[in-house]
Amino acid sequence: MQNLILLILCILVTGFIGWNVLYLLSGRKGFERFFAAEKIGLSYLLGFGVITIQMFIMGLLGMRFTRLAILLPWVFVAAVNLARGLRRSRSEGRGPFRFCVTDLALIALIALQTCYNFFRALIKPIEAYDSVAIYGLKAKIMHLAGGLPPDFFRALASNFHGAHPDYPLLIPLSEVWVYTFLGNFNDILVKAIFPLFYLSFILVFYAVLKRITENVRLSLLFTFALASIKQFSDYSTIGVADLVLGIYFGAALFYLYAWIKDNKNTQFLNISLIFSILCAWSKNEGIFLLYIVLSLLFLYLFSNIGKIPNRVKWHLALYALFAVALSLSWMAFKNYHGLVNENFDLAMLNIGRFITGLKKIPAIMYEYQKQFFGFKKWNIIWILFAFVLFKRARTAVSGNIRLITAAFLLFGLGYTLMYIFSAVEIAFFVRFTGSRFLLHILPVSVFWMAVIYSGEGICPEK
Amino acid sequence: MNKKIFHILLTIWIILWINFIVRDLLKRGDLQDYRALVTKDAEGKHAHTYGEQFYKFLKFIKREIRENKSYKLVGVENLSLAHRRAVYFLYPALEKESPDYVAYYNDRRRGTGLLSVNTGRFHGID
Repeated sequence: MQNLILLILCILVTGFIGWNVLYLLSGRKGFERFFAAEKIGLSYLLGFGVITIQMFIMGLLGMRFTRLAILLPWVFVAAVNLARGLRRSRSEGRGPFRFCVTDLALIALIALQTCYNFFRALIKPIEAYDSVAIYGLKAKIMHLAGGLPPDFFRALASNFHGAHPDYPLLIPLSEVWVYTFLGNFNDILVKAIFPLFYLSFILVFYAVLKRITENVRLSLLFTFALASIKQFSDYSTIGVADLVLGIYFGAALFYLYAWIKDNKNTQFLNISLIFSILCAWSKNEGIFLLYIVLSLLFLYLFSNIGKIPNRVKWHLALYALFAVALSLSWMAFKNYHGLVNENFDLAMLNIGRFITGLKKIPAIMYEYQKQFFGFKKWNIIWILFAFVLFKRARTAVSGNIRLITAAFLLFGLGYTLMYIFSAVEIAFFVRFTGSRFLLHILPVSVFWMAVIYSGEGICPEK
Repeated sequence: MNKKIFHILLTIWIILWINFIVRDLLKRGDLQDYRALVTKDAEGKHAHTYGEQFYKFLKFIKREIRENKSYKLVGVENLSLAHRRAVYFLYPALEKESPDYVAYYNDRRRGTGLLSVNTGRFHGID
């Protein structure tokens, strides 16, 4: 019981830290542009992101992970925010909470799925393959050491085959943060963080859709669609990084889109920047996803160069510089510690490997079609996606939504090239990673469909 | 998109959604699993998830070997899920090629137990 109370407290404290980061990034006026539920979701997603980065830096400096040491800097941030008017701030308008019976039924279905996910996560300890072999193991090592041991990466590489010492530490450090707060190792309760990622994102997804489409019913419908996709909900119960990466990538693109739609709200751009950095902090593939976000930003910048004020151009340049500097620092850090991924590495990019890799295309295509018709995992989402792309091809490549369409192109191209260049036996590699990698783009796909159909009147509010 | 098509798609979606949840619960046996797990404490949840016999084996090894000692697993397929769980569970003891202990699991010759490489003493699990 004491553990449960501490867990709830840990989640509230994490959310409070995220709340402060959100306020810091938005300023008072910008902060008030978010819906209340959206702020709660964003706070949780940001909270775990910034705490784990802080813990990583503390670990590198040789500091021990204690509740006090981790929380102390945030006391000052909270004090500054309070002085800047955080307590008096309000949320956007009337908020998204005006629902009729159909809307309430959809909310009930989403709530049902969410409760089921919490149940499934908390009924078992950490037990899935990657959850124990990679994330849980690293968390246990750091927790028992009380920090980041000086030889952490070397010891991981030499003592544990396939523990991927090169992976970013967001998930393991999130687990360590919970263990530190609880004051003990509890690999059952710690799993609560994963369905909470899911729930937080569902709130954010709905709020962003509502803001962009201005249609409650349509936003709820597509939120339900995303929430009920089996692969998406299953991955919120097992404790691996793929769902979290999909969530951060989705959030980065949604807020970039929201900013493009309304340039005045620079807080959306700041949020997008933070989430794209958190992509790189979630998983190796996240660096590529971060560069997709940056490419889209530049695509937008160059196609609207005359219309964008200089102040915004500087903002964008700083945005890109900051993100690139951080991603390069991480790569340099990995290089310094000799952390090489055995499946795929930039050193594998060469013409010879590309030519021999072309033979892998049939195996890759075979896996893609398996996922496309994989109802068990995806319901009919990819069939719908193809249908929308075919039926609304012109809409998909016009206006601002073309940026999201371009993201699919870059994503498909990038991941296919990774398969082509990779050193792993291809049938094995695509079979074990194909459905996980699709999670990275899933939220963006559902968002894209919702935005394309928002103008169609298929889903009237009354 | 036509409203009618949209409603048909939504119906298909919900049918498939319910179908796959029910399938997992009944056909895959998740419901039985949950019924068994829901009343168990943390220890019981671990035992049920890892497999009662395998968990007993891991608890035995953890109790018998000291934290800074190393072990080797025999009878657990290398890099299998059971192997990954064992390495995770037994940490901070480390798996090594030249270990202090050899842990046998359902071995044809030795059965299940722990062999101390230094003393040559084999301690079988009850």
